[in-house]
Amino acid sequence: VSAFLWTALGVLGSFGLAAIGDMMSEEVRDRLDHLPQAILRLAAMRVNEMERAILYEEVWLPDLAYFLRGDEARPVTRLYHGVRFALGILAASKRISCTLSSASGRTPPKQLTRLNLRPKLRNEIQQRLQVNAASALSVRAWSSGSGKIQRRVIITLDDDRRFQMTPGRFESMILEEEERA
Amino acid sequence: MQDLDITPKMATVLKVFLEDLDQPRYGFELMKLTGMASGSLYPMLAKFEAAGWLTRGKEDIDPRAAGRPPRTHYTITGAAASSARIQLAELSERYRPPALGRLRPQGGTA
Repeated sequence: VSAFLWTALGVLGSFGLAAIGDMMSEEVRDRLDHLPQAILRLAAMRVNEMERAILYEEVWLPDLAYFLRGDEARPVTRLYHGVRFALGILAASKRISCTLSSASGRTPPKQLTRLNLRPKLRNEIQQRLQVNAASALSVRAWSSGSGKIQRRVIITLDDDRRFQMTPGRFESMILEEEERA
Repeated sequence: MQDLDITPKMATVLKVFLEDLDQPRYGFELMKLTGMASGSLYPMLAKFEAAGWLTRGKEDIDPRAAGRPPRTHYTITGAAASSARIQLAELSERYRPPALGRLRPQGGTA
């Protein structure tokens, strides 16, 4: 009876260990999969605040996603390529930031801070951004840029969510708003 | 548009853009075509963009259908293309090896 009991316990124990091993490998795989993104976030922290959102969300992250899309079935290759790409960006992030900052520095950016919006304009922005009511939106940075650098309006909501808009429509909305005020 | 001193690495990237002026190029594609790492290519793209040589645009895809966000692409401007052609020619001239002396047949009598 004792031998039978030990055998049963051994079998159960090995199943348990295998399950725990699987769960751990899944956890490690999931965490490692996010490593390139974490490195890119770190790189974004080294970049000037004005270019941060654009570079991270519109350039680096989409490129990383595209870069890794073919490596889905091969976790090690995916990790290797992703980390290599992200480390390259991390090493170059200061240089990229300096280049873009010095270019936009030729025409000083306008800074519009804490803009209390009239209901019509607020509704329009909320509609465009598809966000719920916010009592005020603050425009943190107006990157006027120069040459061919695209201008961006970065809008920060009260709950710290950030959105970017190309200035076209937003600029005219602001001008209308200023004229009314 | 600002003048840039073109290095051989920059020339490699510009050559890709000059192959088809209207073709937008993506970071990943440029990495593959030039064999450059992200740490070399992206600062270079920023430099070209800051100097007004490249314009940035967004890939026209449905992110939900594609399962990924739209990428940023770059296109060379007309003025930059002309300037790049001249500078690439100059660079090629600079790196061209000197011509060998005239070849003469040894021991020939003709």
